[in-house]
Amino acid sequence: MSEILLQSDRQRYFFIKISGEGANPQLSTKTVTPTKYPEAIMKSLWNQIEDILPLVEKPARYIGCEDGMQLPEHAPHKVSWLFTYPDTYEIGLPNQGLQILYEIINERDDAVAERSYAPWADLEKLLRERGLPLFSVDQHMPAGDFDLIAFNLSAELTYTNLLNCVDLAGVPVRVDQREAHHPLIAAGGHCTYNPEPLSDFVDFFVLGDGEEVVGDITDVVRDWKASGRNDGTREGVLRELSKVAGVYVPSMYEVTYEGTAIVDVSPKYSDVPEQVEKRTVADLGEWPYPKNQLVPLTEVVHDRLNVEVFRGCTRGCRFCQAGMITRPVRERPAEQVKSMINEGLRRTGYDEVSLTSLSTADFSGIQSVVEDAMTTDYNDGRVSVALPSLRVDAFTVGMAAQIQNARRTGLTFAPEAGTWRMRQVINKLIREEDLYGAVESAYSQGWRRVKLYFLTGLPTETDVDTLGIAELARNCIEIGKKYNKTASATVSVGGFVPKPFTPFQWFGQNTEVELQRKINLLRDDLGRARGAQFKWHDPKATLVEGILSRGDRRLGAVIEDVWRNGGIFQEWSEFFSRDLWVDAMGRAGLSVDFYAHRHRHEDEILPWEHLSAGLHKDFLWQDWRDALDEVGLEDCRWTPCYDCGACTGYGIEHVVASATPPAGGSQGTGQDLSGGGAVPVTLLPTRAPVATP
Amino acid sequence: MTRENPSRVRLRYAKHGKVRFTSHRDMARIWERSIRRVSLPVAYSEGYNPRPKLHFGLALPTGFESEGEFVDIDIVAEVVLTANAAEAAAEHERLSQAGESQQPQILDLEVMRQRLDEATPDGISVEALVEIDRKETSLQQAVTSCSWEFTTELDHDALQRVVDMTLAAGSLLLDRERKGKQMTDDIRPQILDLHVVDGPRLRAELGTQPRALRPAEFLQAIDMPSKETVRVLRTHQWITNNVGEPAREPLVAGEPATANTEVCAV
Repeated sequence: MSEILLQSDRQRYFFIKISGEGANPQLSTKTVTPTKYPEAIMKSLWNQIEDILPLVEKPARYIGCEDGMQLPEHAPHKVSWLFTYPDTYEIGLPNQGLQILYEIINERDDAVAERSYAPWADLEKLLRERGLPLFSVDQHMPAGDFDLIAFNLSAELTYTNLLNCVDLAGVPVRVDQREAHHPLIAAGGHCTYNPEPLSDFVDFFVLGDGEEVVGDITDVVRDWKASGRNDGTREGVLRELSKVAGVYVPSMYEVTYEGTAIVDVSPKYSDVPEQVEKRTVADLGEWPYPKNQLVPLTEVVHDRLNVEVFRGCTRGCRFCQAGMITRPVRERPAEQVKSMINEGLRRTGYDEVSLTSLSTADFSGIQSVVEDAMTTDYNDGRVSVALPSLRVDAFTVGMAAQIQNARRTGLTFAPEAGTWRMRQVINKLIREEDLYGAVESAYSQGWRRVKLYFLTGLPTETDVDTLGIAELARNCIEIGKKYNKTASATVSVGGFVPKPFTPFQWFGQNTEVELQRKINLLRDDLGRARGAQFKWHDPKATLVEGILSRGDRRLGAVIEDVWRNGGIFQEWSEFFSRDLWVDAMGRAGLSVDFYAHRHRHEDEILPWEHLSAGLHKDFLWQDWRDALDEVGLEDCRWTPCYDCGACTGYGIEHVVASATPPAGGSQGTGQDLSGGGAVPVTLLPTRAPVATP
Repeated sequence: MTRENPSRVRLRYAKHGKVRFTSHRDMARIWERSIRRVSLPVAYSEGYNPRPKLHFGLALPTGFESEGEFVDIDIVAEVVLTANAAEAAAEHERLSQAGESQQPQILDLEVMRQRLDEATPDGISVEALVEIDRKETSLQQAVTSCSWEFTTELDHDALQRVVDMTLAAGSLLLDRERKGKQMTDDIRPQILDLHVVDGPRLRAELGTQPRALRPAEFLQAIDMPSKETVRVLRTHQWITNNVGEPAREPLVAGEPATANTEVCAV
């Protein structure tokens, strides 16, 4: 006898029901007209992918459906780009570079763009088992059917993921094995200032700002498609691309070695440029992107509205590659920033906006922008304005207190080094009293915790400098205790990796053992301090980053070896393996010491010698000598020009929204900025001419 | 006269297609953003980190679709709620004739429903938005069972055999974890209804009190194929009327958006 109670037996409310038929509105995917090329008609894989999504972690990473997502219509004559971030969706989705290019391409009549991210290992396994390829998240199109797969490279440890994504797309991982029907594999982003380790795998790299060059590339690829994209024409299109300013095609260059040293890098053909210059967008005001920032359905990093207020930085911190390669400073007009904030908050429903740049408190229009953001119609008193990369001074903290609506969880400062001597070497000219003033200001205004960022393994660093980090942290906590018994400080320490196109590009990186010794020294010393939390970056990962950061083409064998041995997601501690890398170096007959720990000579030909970030090599060398002499260099935006090359080389200037220097001095250094100098500074809205190198 | 206390509205929505792969947590954030986008005058919690006062019903497992999802939303006290435009206009007229010095904001729930429907992602459709009594039992406590529809690869006869065997069973034991401890529960009493409908699909009504029998546990207990090949749709959430006669029905206040409104209130 059944114990089941029939529906009618139960007491409950009944309401009119309709059956589920026809109530399943599937998102339609557009059909594509059959084309001659690519042979495979681009067709959505959604039906196969939705079958396996119930089996994987966080399936919302793979569905797209973000607000701001575009569903472009593919067509034979259109150039199709797949912008791919070689790490998880959570890390890659917020990337502003990819979002900007995604919009710019989709605004064109002759091109379409979709996006893709590295699938987590569980999905990758299922895809491979079922013979399914990497796919776009927008319309779930197979990656291999796009004309271009373009990667953003922001970190060295994602290199093996690039290979994995290319392979998963069904494309041969090596450049020399690809044919005309395969997508062109491209990469941009900060790591491409030394792209040599990836030369075997990437058809072309883009140096600098992408807004303009992405259109130039589209033109070349469109013409190639129109000409039939016949067998044997792949080299021809790459040669055409090599003539586009800012595009570097490694296969068009011959590298000559003598022993371990590079003795020559030359183009193989006379029409290929000897040196590739980065691209620079002169006026950010002409590029108010992203206009429709993607709002993901699932949680990602930086899950808030992001508005870029300026590009470039002239502070001159010698360890900072971003600051060197993105010069000159180009500010967005304050009025445009305001409208992007207002429009963005209204459209997205976010309650937090971050004003992004390398040093946002130095934005000359910061006060008017912040005041506007706090009083806009869409700010109902719940909107927070975030200022990443806070300047170390009390003025900035005061502003942060104004704008963070009751969310005083933590404030982050980056003094970077523990002693004044060390900070002179790295040119981060923050005095101890600046830091203490900022920290006092923070604790006294309700923050209970500050985060302090430091580097260890810097040039000329001694144990006095290293232990100076602990001393600074202890003093900060001491100040905090005056205001709150539970005051604490988080101390984060990363091992220093010398980067190309910085004054420290000649410096031999500290060994893993030495970095670990310094970290242990700090850990033991800080262990006695109440309220201090100590975090550090794994020196094993720092070692691998160091090998790749200044590596050359010979590392291609190593990257491929690590990937073939399962070394994916190397940025993730659960996947990272130092031994995979060191063993692969051994198999390739390459020396870790040569690539990571060796000091370079002035006359050495560096692997990136044929590329240019606009900086004169002799400027960088002089800055390296000044560093060793412990001589600092002031912010050139407000003092006379040092002729680093970034402005003069491109015929453009620092573009600022206001002629008034920031209160508190650049980076809170308190320097006197009233004098000005022979600085090439253009005031907006005057348009600076665009240089065509 | 403006009210002293916030009022509460209940929203019913459906979730179909790709967006079914979002989690319960994802949905909470989606609602917070959607509510901000349409400037719904939601009440906020007090304290250090104020959050909008949203009250969610029983979590829908990630990957499942639904025609009956609910959220309760507290609306700030100063707002007068109406169910349609005519009523809104009448309320305006009444207030101005009464010479109220401070005109309260009037919120037309049907207009708001449409705006929320537009502000939510594709695949989320806002079906109804009505005012409810703040004293009503929370969604989590009120619901006593849910109806589910399972689309599988089995044919009608095979499904009928599953139904017959399940219904004939005096008990169905299931090993499951509860607060870190392994328990063996008889879930048979929680299967309140089970039959095959055209499609063919399996329809089941599963109890939710005191502890919900989850669709995945149900499938495991009746030895159905893996979750990969089963597509699950929540069609209804039910409450038990202990009084014995129907009370007022909240979701059809004003004109309902569609005909398939259903139970969910005391």
